[in-house]
Amino acid sequence: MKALQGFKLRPLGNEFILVGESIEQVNFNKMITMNESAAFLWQQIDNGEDFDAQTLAQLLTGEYEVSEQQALEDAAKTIESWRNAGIIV
Amino acid sequence: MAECRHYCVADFFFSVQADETVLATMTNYEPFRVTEVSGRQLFSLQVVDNACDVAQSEWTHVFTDTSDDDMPRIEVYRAHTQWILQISMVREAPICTRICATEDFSQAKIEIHTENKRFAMDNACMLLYAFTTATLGALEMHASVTVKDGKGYLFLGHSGTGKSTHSRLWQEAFEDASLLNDDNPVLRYIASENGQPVQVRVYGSPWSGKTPCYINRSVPVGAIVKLSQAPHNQIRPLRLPEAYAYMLSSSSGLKIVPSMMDALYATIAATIQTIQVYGLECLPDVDAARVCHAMVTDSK
Repeated sequence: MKALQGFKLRPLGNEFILVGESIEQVNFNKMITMNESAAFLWQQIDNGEDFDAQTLAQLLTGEYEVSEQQALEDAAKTIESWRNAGIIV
Repeated sequence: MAECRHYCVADFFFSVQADETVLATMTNYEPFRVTEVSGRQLFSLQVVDNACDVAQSEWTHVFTDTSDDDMPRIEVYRAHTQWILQISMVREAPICTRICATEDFSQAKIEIHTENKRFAMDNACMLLYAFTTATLGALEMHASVTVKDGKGYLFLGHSGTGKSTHSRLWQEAFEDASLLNDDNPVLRYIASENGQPVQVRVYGSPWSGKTPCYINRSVPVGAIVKLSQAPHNQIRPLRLPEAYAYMLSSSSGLKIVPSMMDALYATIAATIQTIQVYGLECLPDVDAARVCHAMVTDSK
């Protein structure tokens, strides 16, 4: 799967928001909020290159003190929320 | 005979050059007229027969704004370093104005192809004003503003949600409540300078929709309230992401231009972390005004 292009991640208070800002996303009218770790993951994969749950899990274990099992679970949840939000294909 | 007139809205200046037939229709700008520009000039707009010197075949279509069905349709093009905006009154109508502007929107020419000169000039000035103030901490907002006890309360919502009605209900509920603007006030986030505290102020403007409320006055913002219709009156403070989303959709600007979007984001983020934004689900009754007022003036 890949990240859709044309979004910008912006800090807001102690969260981040993802807004469709380019011409490709001019009609995207959802507001997506991300906590720090989700924002970290998004920033690593928003170049449009292919990734999967494993990719995200590895990023999580590399950045945070978390077990591989936990990282995989978190990665799967994150992917599901991104898919529901319509920001990955 | 063309004449040049200067105006000041929210402490920013702009000039219009047109002949008497056009200027005579711009009565809504009179309270904002000044004899000279004594501050930052945003733009200069000139009414001409032919606005653009670049052939249409060389224009690149950027996008067409199809937000609301009953709002003017705006087509945006680029031609070399120029911007071209073509406006139609409603979705399927022919072009009623064509505006050609420099890259920074500071110099613009407008061709008017409608008998409604006032409409053409209002649209042009509103767009140019929004585009040139975006990077200056200002937001041209789609809102109705009521003033009470020296503070301005902005009511946001889609067209037809009841912003004007809610303002009227405040005036019904409170003798000392008054309307500052009914459709397009200017909000400014004024950063702290020389030890002065940060200010968020709302300003009257020449653009007030169907209600002729052209008041050259500003007040500090008390609160911002997003309205939605409901079978009850309930209000709650909004979290930052919700507040941001409503503020952004209520603000004018060329959101696909990165520098403009960065500026809108900065102004909105700063504003909503200074002023509380609320969500009011309401009926069109006086109780809604009382419930709203009680919440937004509750000292914390």
